[in-house]
Amino acid sequence: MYRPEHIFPTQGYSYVFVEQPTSEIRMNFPAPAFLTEAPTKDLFDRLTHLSVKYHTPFLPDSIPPSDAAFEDARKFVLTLPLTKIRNPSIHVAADGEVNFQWSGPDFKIDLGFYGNGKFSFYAAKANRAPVIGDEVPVSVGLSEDLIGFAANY
Amino acid sequence: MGTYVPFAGKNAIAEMSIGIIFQSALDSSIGEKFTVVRDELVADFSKFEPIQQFVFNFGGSPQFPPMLPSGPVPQNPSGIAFTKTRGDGNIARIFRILNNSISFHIMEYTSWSEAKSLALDYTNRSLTKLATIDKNPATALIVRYLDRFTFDGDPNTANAKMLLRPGTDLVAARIFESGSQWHCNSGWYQALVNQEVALNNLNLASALIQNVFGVVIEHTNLYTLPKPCNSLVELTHGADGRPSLEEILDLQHKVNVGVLRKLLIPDILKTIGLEG
Repeated sequence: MYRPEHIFPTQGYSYVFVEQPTSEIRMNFPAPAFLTEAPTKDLFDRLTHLSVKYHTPFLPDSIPPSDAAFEDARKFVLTLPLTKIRNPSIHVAADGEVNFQWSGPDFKIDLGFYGNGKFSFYAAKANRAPVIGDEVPVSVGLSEDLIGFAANY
Repeated sequence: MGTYVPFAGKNAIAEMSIGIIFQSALDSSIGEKFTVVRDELVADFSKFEPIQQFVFNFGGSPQFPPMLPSGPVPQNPSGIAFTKTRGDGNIARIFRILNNSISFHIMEYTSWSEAKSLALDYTNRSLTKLATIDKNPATALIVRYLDRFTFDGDPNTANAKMLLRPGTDLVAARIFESGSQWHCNSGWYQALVNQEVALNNLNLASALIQNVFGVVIEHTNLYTLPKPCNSLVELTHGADGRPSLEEILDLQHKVNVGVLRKLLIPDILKTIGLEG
């Protein structure tokens, strides 16, 4: 017998009707934001778009980013806590760099990949000395300190 | 050829919930203690909302006859939801007291220890202010994880084998031959505390959501206490051989980790930090 006092609601995705003995009936509602957002896919799509668009030199004497640089960028995306920080903007530079950038009211993080399995970065935040890193393995990702720069801005 | 990836970088957990179920509804307590509980927790959240709940039944089943709200609208709220939002306006956390449950929901999950610590803190503070557990004992504990993976590639090539271990006994074998659209729901009892069992519900669905193919894995562990607990101290610290609340939640969390390790392929486990 359904008893309303036995509802255990989730954030909005579904309701579970808990009974004694334990069992459940599910009733679905429209998907909330966390089921419709796809930040990893959005970044991967952007990288795919850039890799196709800039596969050949796009300026005189420019160097298109290598496939390895895009692959490093993809691996790096999978180290990011994207429920905590927003997606970076991604661009390519004429020297073959795949560039990630976060900027907010009081901070900026700028980092780049060249396809050697490593990345370099520059980060600045108000009232803090700039932080610079070079030759950081892609699998290491951003430090907790830098993630704190970009969290919840 | 595509691949499944956690929906948010290294995070596959879209929502994690911890809940305590009580023997009866907390409605009247909320009405009386609404302001007290709000004042206790309001500094930790950006928004609080009283919840006024109405119940509608649909359908002609004799068990669930159609029903519309009747009688006067209640003056007191039937629950409270405290919400913390992210900078982009999306929800980061919810703490909710509603019906016969108190639950904490975290959408920006980073670690079990952080989520558990927050849940225990909010639960303890709210139950202290409500001061009802002696009359309305706790009967069950819930830990629920909702993991989400999106498919990067041509959806026509999506296949459960790219995410789930072929041969796992947690899903029906048929889904591995079902392309990108399938679902599988199951439940089982499993020993949790000594020989006492907890109910596991595992619901998987692969579908197109807002133009993105993905798989949602929802695992719930529901542990009914061997006997109702009417003391906050006993619930928190354990009694009569029953472990503390924190220890039981740890066990429930470990069940979820075990489920994912049996369910997901090694590459995905490595990405989400559950390798080994």
